[in-house]
Amino acid sequence: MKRRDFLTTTVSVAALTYLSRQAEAWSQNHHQLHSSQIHRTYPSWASRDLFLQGINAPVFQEVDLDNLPVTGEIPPDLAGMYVRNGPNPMFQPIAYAYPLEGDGMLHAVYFEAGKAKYRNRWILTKGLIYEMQAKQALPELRFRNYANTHIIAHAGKLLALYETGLPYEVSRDLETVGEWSFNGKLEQAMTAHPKLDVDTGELHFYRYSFFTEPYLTYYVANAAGEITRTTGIELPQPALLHDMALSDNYAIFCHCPLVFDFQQAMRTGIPLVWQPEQGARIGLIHRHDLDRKPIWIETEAFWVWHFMNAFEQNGTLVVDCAYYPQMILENTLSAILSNRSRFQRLTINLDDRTITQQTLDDRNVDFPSLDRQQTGKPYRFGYMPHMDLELIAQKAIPNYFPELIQYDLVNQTSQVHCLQPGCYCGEATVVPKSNATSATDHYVLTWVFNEITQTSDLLILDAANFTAAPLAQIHLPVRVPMGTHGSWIVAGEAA
Amino acid sequence: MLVDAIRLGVGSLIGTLIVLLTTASAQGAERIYLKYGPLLFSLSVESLATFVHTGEITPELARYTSQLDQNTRQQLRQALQQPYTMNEVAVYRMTEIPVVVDFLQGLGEVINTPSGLNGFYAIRSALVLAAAEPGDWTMMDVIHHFPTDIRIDVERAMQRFPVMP
Ligand SMILES: [Fe+2]
Repeated sequence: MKRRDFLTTTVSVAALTYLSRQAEAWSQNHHQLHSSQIHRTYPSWASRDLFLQGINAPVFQEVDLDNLPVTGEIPPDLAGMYVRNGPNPMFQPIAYAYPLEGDGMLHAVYFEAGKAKYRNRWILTKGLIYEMQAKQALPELRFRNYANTHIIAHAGKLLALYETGLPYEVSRDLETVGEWSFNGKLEQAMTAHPKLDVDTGELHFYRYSFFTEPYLTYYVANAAGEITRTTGIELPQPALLHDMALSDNYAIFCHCPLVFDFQQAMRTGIPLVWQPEQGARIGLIHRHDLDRKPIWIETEAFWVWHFMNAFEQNGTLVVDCAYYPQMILENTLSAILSNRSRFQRLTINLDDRTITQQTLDDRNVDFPSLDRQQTGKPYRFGYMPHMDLELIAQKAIPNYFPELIQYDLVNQTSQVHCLQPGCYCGEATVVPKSNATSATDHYVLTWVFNEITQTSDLLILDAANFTAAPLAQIHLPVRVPMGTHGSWIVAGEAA
Repeated sequence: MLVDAIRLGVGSLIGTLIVLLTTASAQGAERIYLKYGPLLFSLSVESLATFVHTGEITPELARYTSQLDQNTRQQLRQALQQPYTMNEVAVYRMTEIPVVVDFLQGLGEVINTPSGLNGFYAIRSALVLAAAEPGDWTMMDVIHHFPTDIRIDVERAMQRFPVMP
C-alpha cells in the first residue's frame, strides 16, 4: 500500500468512525425520530442554572408524533386536547430568573377514538421573533411577554398567558396567531390564572401594575370575549398577585406582603421584598353588586402562588390554597428549600369577618388542580404534586415531584399515586368522564419525566382507583420538560 | 408563517422608527417646569446642560441647587451624564415590553408635557432619539430630545419614585 493510499484509508476510516459515533449520539439525543416527525430543530445549548438543568432543561426540537405507543388503554371517551405551557428558552439566556423568564413552549396531546398524537411548538411572541432574527438572546428583551405560564380556552380562542403581558392566541395546531386584547379593551397585561365561571362562560381575571394606579384592576369578560366589567381596586402598595379565587358571590384576592419596593429595586436589583410585619390582606370583591366596596380582612403574613378553590357555605367563605408562611424570592437552592408550603383552608366568617385556619396537609405541595366544573363550588376532589424537599435537596435541582396526591375534601382523606423510581410528575389536569354521574368519574392527566430513559410519558389515572397503575401510559420518544400550567380542551371548544 | 412573522415584525419596527425619527420636532425641550403643589418654577435646559457639562451653576440654577448639598448636586450631575451604549433599535424594543410600558406610564404621570398630559410618548420618543445619536448617550441627551417642554410634578415624583434625585 502506498503511503498516500494508506493515509486516505486511515482518514476515511477515522471519518467513518467519527460519523457513526455522531449518528449514535444524534439518535440517542433525538431517540431515532424519523425526519418526517421533526418539524424543526434549533441549536442546543446547556446551562448551569438550576432551573435549566435536569427535568427543567429546555428541548430544542418541535415534533409531530402519531400513533404513540401506549401501555394500558386510552379510554375511548377521551376526546379533545391536553395542552400544557412552560418556559423553554430558545437561546441561552444571559441571566435566568425562573419562573418569569423563558419562551413559552406548548406541548399538546390530541385524543381521538382511543388514539393519541403529540405536537410541541414554541409560541412565536414578538420578543422571540426579534431574538430569532438576532440568533441570540437580547439583553434589552428580558422580562418581555414570554406567554409561558398557562394556556386556557375562552370565547373560542386558545390563549397562552403570562402575567405581565397580553394573552397570545394560538390555534389548535399550536400556530401563533398573535396578541389578544379583548378587542382593545385590555391594556398591557392579564393574570396567567383567570377563573372561568362554567355556568355563564364568564372569565374573571385581573391585571396588577407596579407603577400606575390603580395597582390592581379586576375584569370580567363574557362568553363572547367582550369585557363587561372593569373595576379598579386600591392597594396601599403595589404587589405581585399570581392567582385569584372565585366563589358564587366574590372574586377573592390576596394581597400578600411580597411587596414591590422601588428603593429596594434601585439598591439591590430585586424589586420584591418579603415584609411579614405588614401582614396579609384578603380582599373580597362582590361579583354582582358593582357598587359595593371591597371587603378587606387582615391576617398574619403568608404567601400564595395558587388557590385550589373557594366556595361559600353556611355564612362562611372557604378558601383552599397552597400556603407558604414565608416566601424568599431568590433562585438559590437554599431559598427554594426554605419556602415550605402546606395545603391550608382559610374559613372566613362573612358576618364578623374573622378568619379561622386549618392545615389540611402539611406536605410541601403546590400546582393545585380540580375539575373546573367545580370552580367556586363546594367540591370533593383536588390534586397536587408532592414537591418532596428531601429529594430536591438531594438532586440539588428544583422541580422533582415523585408523587401525586389526591385530596378528598369531603372525607378529609388523601391518597398518593407513587410514580415509578426515577419518574417525576408535574401539575395534574382533571378530565370529567363523558358519562360522569359522580364526583369520582374523572381522569387525571399528568406529564411524567423518566430520568433513566430521558423521555416523557403522559399518564392517565382513574380517579376512582387512584393508587392503581395508570389506565394508560402514553410513551413519547422525546422529553417534555417540567413546565407550568395546562388545560384540557374539549373537542370543538377552541378553533 | 415564520418568515412572514419575522418580516412583519422587522417591517413594523423599521416603519415605527422612521416615523419616530422623521416626525419628532427638531426643536427639543427648552424649559423644564417644576410643579410643586400650586407653585410652578421653571428652569432652562441650557442652564442644566451647562451644569452637567462644566459643573458651573448659573444664577438661574442656583435658585434650585442652593437647597441641595454638594453630594446631591454631584449625584445629579453624574446621573445626567452617565453614558449609555444601547442603540435605538434595542431601546425601542425595550420600551415595548409590558412591564417597561407600565414603568414609563408611571414615570409619565410624574414627567408631563407642559399641559399636564402623561409624558409616556414623549419620554419614549426622547429615549429612542437620544439612543439614535452616534456613540454613547446620556439622560441629558434624552432631555434635549424631549419633543416639548417638560413639566415635572415634584411631589408626585417624590412619592412614586422615592429615590429620584
Ligand atoms: Fe401559576
